Order: sequence, then C-alpha cells, then structure tokens
Amino acid sequence: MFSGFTEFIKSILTHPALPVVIRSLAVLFGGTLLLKVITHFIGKRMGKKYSPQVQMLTRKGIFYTGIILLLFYVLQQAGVKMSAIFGAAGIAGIAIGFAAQTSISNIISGIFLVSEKPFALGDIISVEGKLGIVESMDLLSIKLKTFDNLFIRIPNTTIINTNVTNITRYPLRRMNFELSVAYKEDLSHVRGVLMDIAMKNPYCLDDPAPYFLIKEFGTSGVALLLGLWFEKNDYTDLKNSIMTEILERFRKESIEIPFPHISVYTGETTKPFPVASQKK
Amino acid sequence: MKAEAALYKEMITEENSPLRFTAYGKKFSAAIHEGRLQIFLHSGRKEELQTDIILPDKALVSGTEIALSPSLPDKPLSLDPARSIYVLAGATVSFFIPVPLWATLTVNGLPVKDIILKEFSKTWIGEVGQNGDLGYTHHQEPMKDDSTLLPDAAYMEIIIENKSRISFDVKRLILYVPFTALYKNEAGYLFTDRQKFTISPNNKQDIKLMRPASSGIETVARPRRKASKDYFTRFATFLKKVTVMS
Repeated sequence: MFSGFTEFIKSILTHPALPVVIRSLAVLFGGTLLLKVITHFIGKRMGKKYSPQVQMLTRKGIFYTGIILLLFYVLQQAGVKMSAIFGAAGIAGIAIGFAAQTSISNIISGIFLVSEKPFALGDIISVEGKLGIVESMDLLSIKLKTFDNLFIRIPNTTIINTNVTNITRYPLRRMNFELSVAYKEDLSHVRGVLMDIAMKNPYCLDDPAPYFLIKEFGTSGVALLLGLWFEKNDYTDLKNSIMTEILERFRKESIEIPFPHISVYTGETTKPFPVASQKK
Repeated sequence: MKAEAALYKEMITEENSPLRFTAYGKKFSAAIHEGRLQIFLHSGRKEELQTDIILPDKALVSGTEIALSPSLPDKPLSLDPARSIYVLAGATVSFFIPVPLWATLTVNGLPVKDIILKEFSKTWIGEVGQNGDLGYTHHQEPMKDDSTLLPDAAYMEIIIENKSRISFDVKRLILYVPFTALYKNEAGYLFTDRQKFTISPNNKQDIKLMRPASSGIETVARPRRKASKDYFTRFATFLKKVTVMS
C-alpha cells in the first residue's frame, strides 16, 4: 500500500504539467497579492479628493480587471484555446444579459449616480416620500436608514428615474411656517411680534433675515408665511422652540389664531341667522 | 480686561464645598456631591449646570483643582455697527472692538469644556446657503482706544487700509475670532491678533491677522482653528459685497 502511495506521489512530481501548475498558482497568488497592494495604494492616493463611492468603484474595477487578466494568463498557460472561451463567453453574455437586465440597468445607473453625485453618504434624502440617511451606495442599490430606524433599499434605477430631494446638501435651510391670524388683528403688529420672536430665537439666523409674507385672505383668517433660516443641524431645536414661542407670545399679545368657522345668514339681510332659546 | 482677573484657579474638597466665586463678571458655584463635581453658572435666578464629573476616590481625598481660563468665541463675529465706518480713498483707519470672552474650564489640568459667558445669535457669513461660514452677530460700536477696562472682553484692533481711489462705507465687518490667539500685555490687558483689511489700488482685497504691536506680550490661548489657504481669499471677496462703495 505504501509503495502504491509513493508511486502516486512520484507520478505527480514527474508529471510534465507540474511546472505549469506551479507557475500558474504562483502567478495567481502573487498577482492577487500584488493587485491588493496596488488597490490599497491607489485608495490611499485618492485620499479625500474623491468620494468613498468613486474610491470603491475604482479599487474594485482595477482588482477584478486584474483578476480576469490573471485567469486568462493561467488558462493560456494550461493550453486552453482562448478563442473558444471568447466564443462561449459571447453566447453566455447574451443569455446573462437577458436574464440580468434589471441588475445591469442598476449597475449602469449606479455608475451614473457616482459620476453625478446628487448626494453622499450621510446625507438626508427623500425619494418617493421615503426620508432617511444614506447609509451605503452600492452597485445595485442605495440603502437608507429612516428616522424611525427602518432599513430601506432603493434600486439605483429608481433613483435615476425619480425626483430625489437632498435635504442636507446646503449648510443652510429655510423653515416655512404657515399660520393664520384673525381679520381683526393689526398685521403690522403681528409682523413685529413674529420678527421679534425670530430675532430672539437662538437657532434662527440673523442673516439671511427672516422672511415675512401676507399670503392671502383666507376663509377663516389672514394667511401668513414666516420663513426662518437656520443651520441644517438645528431643525428640531428651531421647530420645537419657535412653535412654543409663537403660541406663548400670541397668547400674551392676545393675537387670535382663528379656527375654521362658517357664518350662516338668512334671506337678503346680512344679519346672522336668528337663534332663540326657549325655556320650558 | 485685566489678565490677573482672567485666570481663576481653586482647589475644591468636600470640606470647602460648595465653593462660590466670581469670574469674568459672572457668578459660579462648584460643589462636590456624592463623589461628583458639579459646576454651575448663575445668571439671575437661573443656575445652569456646566459640568458634572464623577471624581476618582484619590481626587476626593486630596482635592480637585478647577480652573477657568479666558478663551475666544468659536465662530467668526459679524459686526454690525449702528453707524457705518467711512473710509476715505488713500486713508488708513484703525479702531478697537471689544470681543466678549468665553471661558475654558479645566479640571486637574485637563480641559473639560467651553463655558459660554456671552450668548450670541447665529448668522451666516457668505453667500446665502452656499459658500460661507456660520458666525455670530456682534452688536458693538468701534472704540478709539484700548484704555478702558472691560470686565469680560478682549480688545481686537482693526486696521482698514484703503489704497484705492474710491472711498467706501463698511456696513458689516467680519472678525475672524477663531483664527486668532489671545494675548496679555505687560499691563495685564487682554488682546487678540490685529486684523488688517487692505484694499489695493486695483481694488483687490486682502485680509491678514497680525500679532499685536505691544511689547512683552504673552500668549494666553492659542487659536481655535487654522485657516485654510483660500479661507481669507473667499472672505476678502465677500468683504466687497458687504461694503458700499461711494
């Protein structure tokens, strides 16, 4: 039995293909290692100049192209005819292309997204009513984490084909408050009160100045718009504080925020509908 | 402000707790309670907790050193003087702006936090919503000299050198406070770096921060931020937009 085993080992060691196998393995291992070093070095060189997505795509692109070239070399060394492989790859490519249409479309969309840069990792975006923080941008999809801790995967094609709102693109934002005051109120006084609230609020920026607009004469009151500029991270603080301050100050100044109401009149006169209570 | 009053240092133990002290014109109290060091800032009837640190047993026995040292606000200040500053063609003007101080709290020699002694309202310095920097609005009139004792501020000297042929009004001035160091001079007054705006004959603008002129100055606090190469270039362009040429 032992002699059989030694014979087997001897046959392997004296096999004419052994040098080719060793060389191929050395090329594969050495080449992979070299590719890893190269991609690592390229990643470092790209540094902060390029976004993480571009870095990832470049590194992966170089690595996988290198691996394919290495495989071609190894197959060539093994005596495999490359023309046959390319022919088979062409037929397989058509079949895979039909089967993976959606995935390929997502990959191409992903490349467009990386070049267009509508958002970056950590941005808060809104896509088709879904609001969340961009957690990752991959070849097929982007992943969002919503504020109520849900995970949303959105295919890249959806992002390309739909309107995307990047909420944190600019350092400043304007918060619009639409409110209504009763017709009896002095609008210049209301404006003064609102501006004073805005100027005293620590989260509201002095410059750009708050924006005040008398929007329309509504059914129940005069509709107003107050636009306040703030630093994008202060959204919650500004919203909570300003709402409280407006309510408190309006109460203090006896400024009425009207609720929706309807006046009913009878006949041709403008006197309200006569209502009388009857004692039993 | 006199520098002697600028640095407050005290040892606090369970025996001398609570400790009440005044620094920068504000009232503070420090107390050791159930192994924790708590420091409060008092304003009117309100007391605001500034820090709450769990102390190691060793510090409880030997005592804890608390110190307050002067520092400058962390963002640039946008100065909106009530009257604009008129600079004639070919003229150089200089004046002083008192910059309110903040305080850096250190416990056993380790910096713990910035204590905000003066609250500012936020403003944007730059183009609306895009290139620029967040800053604070500072309502202060320029002073002709720096001889008045200020209880809670450091002087910043502003020099505007107009080499152009056009006179102009400065309606808004940006003080690059986070990029300047804080110094004290021999007399004990606190100063920042001098800020110089130069308008060249071809109307190009330049902003520079320079060490104060007085001799025997000592650095009290280093700059908070290091300006990138294009920072002042960007703001020099912005200066053009906030000055009204006449």
